[in-house]
Amino acid sequence: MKSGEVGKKVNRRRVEPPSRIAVVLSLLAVLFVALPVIALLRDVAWSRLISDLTTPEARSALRLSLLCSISATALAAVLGVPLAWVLARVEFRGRGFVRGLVLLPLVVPPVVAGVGLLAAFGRNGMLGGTLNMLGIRITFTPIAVVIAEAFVALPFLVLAVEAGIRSIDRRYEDAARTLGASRSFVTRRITLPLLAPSLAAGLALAWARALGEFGATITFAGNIQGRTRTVPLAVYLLLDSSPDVAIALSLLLVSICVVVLVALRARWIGAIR
Amino acid sequence: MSVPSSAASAVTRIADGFERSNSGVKVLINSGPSNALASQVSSGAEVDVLLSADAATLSGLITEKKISSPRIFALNQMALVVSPRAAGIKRLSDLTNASVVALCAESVPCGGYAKRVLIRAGVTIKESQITRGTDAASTLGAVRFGDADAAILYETDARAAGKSVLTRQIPNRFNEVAKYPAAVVLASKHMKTAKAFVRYLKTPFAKRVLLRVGFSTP
Repeated sequence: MKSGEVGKKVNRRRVEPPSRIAVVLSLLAVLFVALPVIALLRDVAWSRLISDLTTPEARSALRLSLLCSISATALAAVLGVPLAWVLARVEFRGRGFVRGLVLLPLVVPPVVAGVGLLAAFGRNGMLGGTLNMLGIRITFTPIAVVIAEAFVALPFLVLAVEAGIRSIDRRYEDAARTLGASRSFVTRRITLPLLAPSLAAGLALAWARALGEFGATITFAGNIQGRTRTVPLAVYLLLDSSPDVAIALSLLLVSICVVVLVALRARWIGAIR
Repeated sequence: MSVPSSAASAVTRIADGFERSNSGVKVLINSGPSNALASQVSSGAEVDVLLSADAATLSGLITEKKISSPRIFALNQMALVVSPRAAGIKRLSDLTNASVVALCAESVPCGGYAKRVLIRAGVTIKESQITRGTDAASTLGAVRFGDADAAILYETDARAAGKSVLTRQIPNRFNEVAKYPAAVVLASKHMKTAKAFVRYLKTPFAKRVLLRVGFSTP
């Protein structure tokens, strides 16, 4: 975070007082985002909140969501950090294309992503025959949930980490190298510590996105209690039969997201510049 | 106009006919699971005509005096829809051996009908074998495009899916008759047209369209 703080000071310029219209519209924008959350709070059955969150349906969804979202974040990190590295440091033809492609899950409707994942990993999908031969079944398993969540979460991780790598002053690394440090030593002792804040931000964002995944999951992984019914799916399903539980779970999801985003204070965007 | 997803394609065609014989009228169709359509009306959505796949989902709206008393315009039955990959599934009792069965959520009419069919047939499927679709269309999708082995769905869905799935009849003694009611939303700003449309659902043209896709008519 240190380099970021220094940057902030350098960039601070005198600010003109904003026009009144801009202030009003900004307030409206904040309200626009906050209103659904505030409205949700109104609908929460506070007295039953704990018992609602500990019903068997809610507990199995929470357990599954926690497990799958953490695994998905790990998967996204294993694939995404090296990719972010390559995108930030390696000049190659088609880099812009690759970067655009990686951001695809941000804009593709998740249901479409789910259909695509089915076409790739489903029993009749592109890899279906191979997977069948190996006796691997992916759809309708928690693995499918992890894949769907990692798919939508990957861009967040790559964006944050790539921006982080770009903001590292390469002179530190170069200096260490000229002093005889090995490549892996430089990575471990200089690059990774400098990268830690962006990596943490990327992981947190990816995790929050994975936790909220709905469309790709229900399409690709199905909606099986205890196996693929994550919290967002349970919210949708319970909205009619037990609305209180659905709202309690929604509140929990929103709270987690608020905590994550406020903790990051949009640093990941700041780092992108 | 709000239409349950299981009747959306038939009602769209009927609405085309209605538009042709009533110049200046444009019917907009909002389709989804009946229970969601009902709660939209309950929370004040601007809908003129509400159709549903069962009477139960409308009962709340009737007591709240939000809709006119409903009239049944179509009847449907349940069928067993099987993926060609799982052709070994011939009857309801085979479902216990299926790897994954797609059913509508129990709060959606098609889920309620499927549940009653299974109870009548004395078949118990483990919840860990059941993937729940959010409406009839997505439940069919799990078999047609996804990896579910079978689904219990409306006869009309089975027909619409054509050769992409195998359809097994469910014996009458286990089967359920789904009754589709139509009602006018009392807050409608187009009351006259709304009433006319509900009447239109009973015309020979509407009946022909419904019969063609596999509904029967009362």
